[in-house]
Amino acid sequence: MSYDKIRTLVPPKAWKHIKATWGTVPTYAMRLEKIRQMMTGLFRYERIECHDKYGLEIQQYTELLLQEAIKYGPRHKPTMETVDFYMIEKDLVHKTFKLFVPRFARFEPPYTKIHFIPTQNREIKRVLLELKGNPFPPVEPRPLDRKGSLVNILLAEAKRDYVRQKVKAESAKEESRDAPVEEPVEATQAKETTEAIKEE
Amino acid sequence: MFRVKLDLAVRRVEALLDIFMGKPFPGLPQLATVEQPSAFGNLQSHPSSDGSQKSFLESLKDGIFWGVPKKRKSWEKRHVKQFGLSYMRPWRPRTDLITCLHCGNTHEAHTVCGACYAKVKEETARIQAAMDIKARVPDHQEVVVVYEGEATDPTTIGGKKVIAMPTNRPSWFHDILMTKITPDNKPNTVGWEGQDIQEKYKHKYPPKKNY
Repeated sequence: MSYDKIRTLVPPKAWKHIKATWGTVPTYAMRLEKIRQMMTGLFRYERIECHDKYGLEIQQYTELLLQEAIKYGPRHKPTMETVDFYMIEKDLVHKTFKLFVPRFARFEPPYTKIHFIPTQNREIKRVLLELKGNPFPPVEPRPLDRKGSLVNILLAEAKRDYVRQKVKAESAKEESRDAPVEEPVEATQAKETTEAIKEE
Repeated sequence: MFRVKLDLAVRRVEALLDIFMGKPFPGLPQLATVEQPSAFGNLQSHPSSDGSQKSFLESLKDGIFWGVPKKRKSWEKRHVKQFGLSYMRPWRPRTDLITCLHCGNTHEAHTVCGACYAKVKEETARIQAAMDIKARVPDHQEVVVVYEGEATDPTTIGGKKVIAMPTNRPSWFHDILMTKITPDNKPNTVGWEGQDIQEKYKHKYPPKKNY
């Protein structure tokens, strides 16, 4: 199996593995169990709150799982086995292949997003991990339209003023080029005398 | 560590010189020797600054200023280091705080606004309860949330399951999500919904099949 790149920015905190203990002893099996639990939660609720060390690691696992599911589909046995392994609740296996895969097949990864949540304790960092395209209200608010702010109004007007001045200067240049050459004074006087003579 | 090594090195050199000069081992009676003028001068004995007889090599070490406390550490400094007394530590300004433009509350720069998020969290919990997200069914559908006064088709909108909420739509939960503010100030409706499946996966997910 070839792996696609997990196109999320992986911070140094996520380079270290989750340490899950069986009693007092950290074991690889317990680590996988923890990952399974969190991923089933994420795939069910599409939005979970957790400690940042868990969230950042599970983000990578979900990205890879979704990429493999999209690439190979449910008919591919190893992919089906991995999805079956990570989903403790088996209806979520249906959900990934029938709902998430067609949803995410339209787009490039990353398919998840991490938002940091404020906490009372500065030492602890909590994180909201969500799958994109979920029907819930967005955590990040819509960007405000800042055209009405004073600074932006002034800048817009300054820009328009600058453009106006430029246009004026260019039009003045063109007029000076196109304007007819003025005749010298003697020639005009001569013209007038000849006209006077003709009238007479 | 360096000082220890230097001391050892100096003592070894001095021992060699003693043998060379004819000085006996410590403990043995000193033999009669004639003090001869040597080319190196008197390397053995050299008066140091504090009066005691020191060798030339030992006195070289006096020139090196070894790290040593000059003054007694104050009570405050000792206790701040040992116990971390917060009331003695200098206050530092928090430069990582930002005001939310929507509600006006402060939050750290890397986090989401706490007040706004609390509202969103409550609403998501309500939506999740309304759509019965905990139900273990094999047919999960895409969901669209509809509030009072908005419902058109009773069951589906664009092939999605409609979840009707009994309340009015909150002002911060807009109809058209994931829209960008474009130069014409019109919302960009092509978000998660408008795009087609990627070319490379089209053979897997043709449009007519209903998954």
